[in-house]
Amino acid sequence: MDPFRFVAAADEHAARAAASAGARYLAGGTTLVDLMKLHVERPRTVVDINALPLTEIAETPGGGVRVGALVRNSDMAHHPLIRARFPLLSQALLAGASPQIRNMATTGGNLLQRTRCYYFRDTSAACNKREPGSGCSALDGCNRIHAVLGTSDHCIATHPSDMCVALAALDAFVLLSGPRGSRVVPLVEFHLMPGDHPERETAIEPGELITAVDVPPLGFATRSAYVKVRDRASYAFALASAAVALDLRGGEIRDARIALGGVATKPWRAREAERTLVGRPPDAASFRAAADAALAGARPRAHNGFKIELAKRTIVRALTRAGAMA
Amino acid sequence: MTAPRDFKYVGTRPIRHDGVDKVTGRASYGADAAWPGMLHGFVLRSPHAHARIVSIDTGAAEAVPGVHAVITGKDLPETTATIALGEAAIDLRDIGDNVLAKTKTLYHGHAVAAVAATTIDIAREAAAAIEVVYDVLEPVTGIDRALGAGAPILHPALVTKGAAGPDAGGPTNIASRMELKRGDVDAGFAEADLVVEREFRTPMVHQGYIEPHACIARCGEDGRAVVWCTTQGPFVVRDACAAIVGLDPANVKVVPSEIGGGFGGKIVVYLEPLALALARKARRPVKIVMGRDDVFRATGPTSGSKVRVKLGAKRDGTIVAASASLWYEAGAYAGSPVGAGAMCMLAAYKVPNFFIEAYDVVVNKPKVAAYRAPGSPIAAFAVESVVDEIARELKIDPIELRLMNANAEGDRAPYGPKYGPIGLAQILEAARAHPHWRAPLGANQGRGFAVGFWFNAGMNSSATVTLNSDGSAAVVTGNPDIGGTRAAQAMMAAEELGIPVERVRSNVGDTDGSGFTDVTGGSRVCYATGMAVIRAAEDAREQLRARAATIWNVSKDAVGWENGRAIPPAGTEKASPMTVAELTAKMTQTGGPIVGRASLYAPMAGPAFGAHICDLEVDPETGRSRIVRYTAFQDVGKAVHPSYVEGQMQGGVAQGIGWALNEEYIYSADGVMENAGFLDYRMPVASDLPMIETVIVEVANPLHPYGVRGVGEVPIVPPLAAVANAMRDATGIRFTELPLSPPRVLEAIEAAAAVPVEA
Amino acid sequence: MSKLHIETTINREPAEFLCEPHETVLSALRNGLGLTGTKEGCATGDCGACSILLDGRLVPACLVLAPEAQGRTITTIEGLSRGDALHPLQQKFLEHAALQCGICTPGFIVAAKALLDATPEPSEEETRYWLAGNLCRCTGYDKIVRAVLDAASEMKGSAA
Repeated sequence: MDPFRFVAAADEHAARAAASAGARYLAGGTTLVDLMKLHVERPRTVVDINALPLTEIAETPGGGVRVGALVRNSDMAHHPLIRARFPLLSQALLAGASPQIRNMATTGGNLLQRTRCYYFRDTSAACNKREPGSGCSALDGCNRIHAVLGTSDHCIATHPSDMCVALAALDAFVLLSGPRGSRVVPLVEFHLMPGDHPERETAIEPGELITAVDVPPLGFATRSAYVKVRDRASYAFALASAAVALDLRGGEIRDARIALGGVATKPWRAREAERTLVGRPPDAASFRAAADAALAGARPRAHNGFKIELAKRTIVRALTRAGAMA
Repeated sequence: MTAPRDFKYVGTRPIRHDGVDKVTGRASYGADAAWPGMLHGFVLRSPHAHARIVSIDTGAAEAVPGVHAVITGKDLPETTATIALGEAAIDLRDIGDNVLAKTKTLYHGHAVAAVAATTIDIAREAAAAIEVVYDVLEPVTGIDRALGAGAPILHPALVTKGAAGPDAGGPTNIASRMELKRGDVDAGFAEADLVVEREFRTPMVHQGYIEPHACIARCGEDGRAVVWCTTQGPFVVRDACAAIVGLDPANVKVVPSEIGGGFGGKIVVYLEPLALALARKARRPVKIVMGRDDVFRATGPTSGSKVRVKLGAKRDGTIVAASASLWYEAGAYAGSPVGAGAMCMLAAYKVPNFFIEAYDVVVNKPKVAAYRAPGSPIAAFAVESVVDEIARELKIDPIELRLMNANAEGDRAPYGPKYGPIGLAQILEAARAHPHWRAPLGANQGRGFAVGFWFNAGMNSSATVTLNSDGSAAVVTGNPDIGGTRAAQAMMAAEELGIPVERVRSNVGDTDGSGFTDVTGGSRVCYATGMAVIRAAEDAREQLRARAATIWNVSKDAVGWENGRAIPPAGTEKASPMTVAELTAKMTQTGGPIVGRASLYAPMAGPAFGAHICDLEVDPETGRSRIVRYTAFQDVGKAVHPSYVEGQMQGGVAQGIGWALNEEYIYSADGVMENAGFLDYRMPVASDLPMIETVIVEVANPLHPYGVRGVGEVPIVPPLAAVANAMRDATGIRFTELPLSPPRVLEAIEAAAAVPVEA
Repeated sequence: MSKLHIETTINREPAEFLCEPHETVLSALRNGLGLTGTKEGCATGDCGACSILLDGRLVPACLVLAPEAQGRTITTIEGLSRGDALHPLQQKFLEHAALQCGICTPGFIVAAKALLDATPEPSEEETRYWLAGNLCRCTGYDKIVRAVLDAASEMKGSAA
């Protein structure tokens, strides 16, 4: 790690005050400290925000849940409200990383989790995300793990989070607190596509602090599933994942939620696919049609073409699982 | 042969002697030591896979406050020495150049300079200030490129050694070529009713020990040096360091720490000569610990490979002919285990006619190091896959087919000598009789079977057994204990002395404190060093008999020995049997301390076979597979501590499964390894594996007093093919390239489904 | 940059140390405090060799900055045995021969303790998934999983 100044912030005000240019907030540290060791992240100041009172999980009016930014992934996954109302979110959290990492990683930190792209993590490689304008080594490199959706000519790095995929499906909101007050950003707008500026990953402004995530009420989220396909049974990033929920009444799909992970540059909400399901029976043909729609815009590179069919099957499997729930 | 012996301790399962230290965190491994006044070393590594070093300017680095020494290749003398490693020899010129590049960097991560400073941060900062000018060359990234027209040449002076082939002469990347042949191959194939030929590929994989390389060295003004390090071979480190750094081996003492895994990868030196050279220059102790990324990029691995195998069989299953070509990546310097692969590949079978050619190919990747049965798993993957095809084509049970062709005692091994007693038929019969072989399979499941072979090594070993006045004993050998050998050695000493195993302390000596002993490797420690311990204990016992004779005033020959007691000759007045403790209590009065000694060279070891049954379930929609049941059978000769024998078998299986399903070095086009970490280089974790059942078969090895055979290496040989054969059974697809990762399996399933099935 | 003074509780005793901001708890334990039972296998949170309990939670010490330890409670492998009595997990690892080289053993035992603290009767599958963040290259996990399950049943028996 490169040397830095360490500030332990006692409250939000102190945290923001310490967050000068070149500073990073430290929560779980599972992404930040790892990348600091690789010299990919080189903050001048590290502001430890772990003492901030952002560790609550509370019910919101109407049946939603507000999750504090410092709630650890393992605590959110096992919380009765999350398990009862948003089982796909609990499943997504438990599908990520290892017990050690889940115990550290926080809700806010996971929103800012950075890609596992080899070239992003290797400071000797060209990477527009790490060093704007340096090029993208992944385009013609080893891109088996890279994205097929939401890519640009400048970046094809996959968004790595499982949690964010479930939150995208659930229309969650990110609560931010900054020098100019608080604001709320829909999660699906929080993460940005790489476009011409892969270095800009989120809508967060300098000095802003994530304080919580709001998961709005969604009755049919009890009929939901998170399916993650990866190289091994656990502790591996997704090759493809799908978070889905189905509103099933009278043998017909009234509403649906589908989001994808492991295949896109951001947590990927597949609204077109959702629309194809409405009014149709919950059968294999409907699910397959939705899956085809979800991947319609996919653009494979040399080594990741398999992800397109794999993602479709993952969607079908997740929808089938949700559809079969009592 | 003598009648089977009734053992008191051998075959039991005592708690290992170093166990408490290891479960409490007290055991001291390579990185756990700190010496007063110690500096920290950092190694600067090449960012290029292939480059000429034009110049290195260390001036700025040396000027950084806190820096005490900087070295480059120019600080190390060029050595032409070699180290004997059994029959083989390690070329120290290559090792020296690998440790610190002199004129060219030959892989990404090749060391080019090293710095010692008061803190690791200062050392790293100073290393970054070293200016290296490179003339970047095109890298040779694999076998096909190395052999292709116009390939860049790694070593302009390289001449192909061994049996000249079609490519002999001129600049080459083929470091050696060997042939093995028997009979008339063309006639053999002409006789065959079925000929199956396939080409196989495997990627580079790493040993994956959890403890990174680490050492501390110091060197006095008188040239006397001490190196503390994690190693499988303290004597190798001593001799290699002395030659590479330019010291007298007699002045170098190597103290082995506890070792956190090696699997062959901690036999040669990487950091030790650098720490020593820095320490000599700085006149302060220097500690260097390698990071995990450097472990992947600059140590280990074993070869990536291409292997072509053709087998011919008669309708009844008799194998009549074989031909094979093997190309193994050596990495940056000659020395892949391709020869061993060639010698092992047909070891299980009576093949009257064969021709095998084996190529050692240099490429711009790390110099390969030994990895558990080096070369054999790659070759077995190929041969055992083809044997599986033959069994399928001929509709013969795979175990029956192997039994039909199995070598037995008296048969000549493909690599030359005649087999003594071997347990191949016995393990095949044990597998055939095991319930696993007949158990029903579920949907999308398949079962695979494969056998594997390893020579096992003997080589040099020394041991002392020192008796204490209270009747306890201390064993000292020169083999670092990598997986329970202290316990096995204590058990053997206890067996010979007739004292409780808990009364034996088992120790690993340093290079001054133990007789010369070859590496912990080749599955040789329990066999060869164990034999030295047995003989040293016998020596101590004979001395005890002599002391009893003195006490009883009888001739030594008249003193018997039973159950740890000296027995007086019948009719001796007032004499009753004396225990070890009673005798050692009188050591001073009867002639002084008792130290039993033995040293030996074991030219041969007693080879061994393993047979594995693997059940695998594949998800045809995603290509992901999971091992659902696994049983390993092995002839171990005699299991001294069965728990650790089982552990070796289970560990070898797990490594083999990782090799089969997930592990691979992923290289970019410019020769950079892109997955140099444990999350991206994916070794099996607990949730990837089922319980691994073991069946120990004991066919006594006549070369060892207890019948022991080497155990550790055989179990990594069969899994690659056992898993691939199970995948064939589950999917109908023959996979010839590893790993069987979900994308590869999925792609193959899709391709197979796209082909219209002929009626 | 001057060093930071950190006060903490390690293995039930107050402890203090000086560290650079960019040191990790792993480095502070091993280099500053001489507690080398916690091992470094990767330094990136992937191998579990440096598993410790931080305020009772299982974490990799290599990803926690040393100054974050201020005011916290740490348990390492050195804190598991009491007097002459090994922790039941330590005893079962010995009895089941659940270690070969032993470098991963402290991390496994600490991780298994965290499992049994929360789940006194884990299934084999729960045990395998819980231990998925701890790498062992020697054993194939068979004997480790058996040792943990056996320790669980013994601890349950002695608690009853």
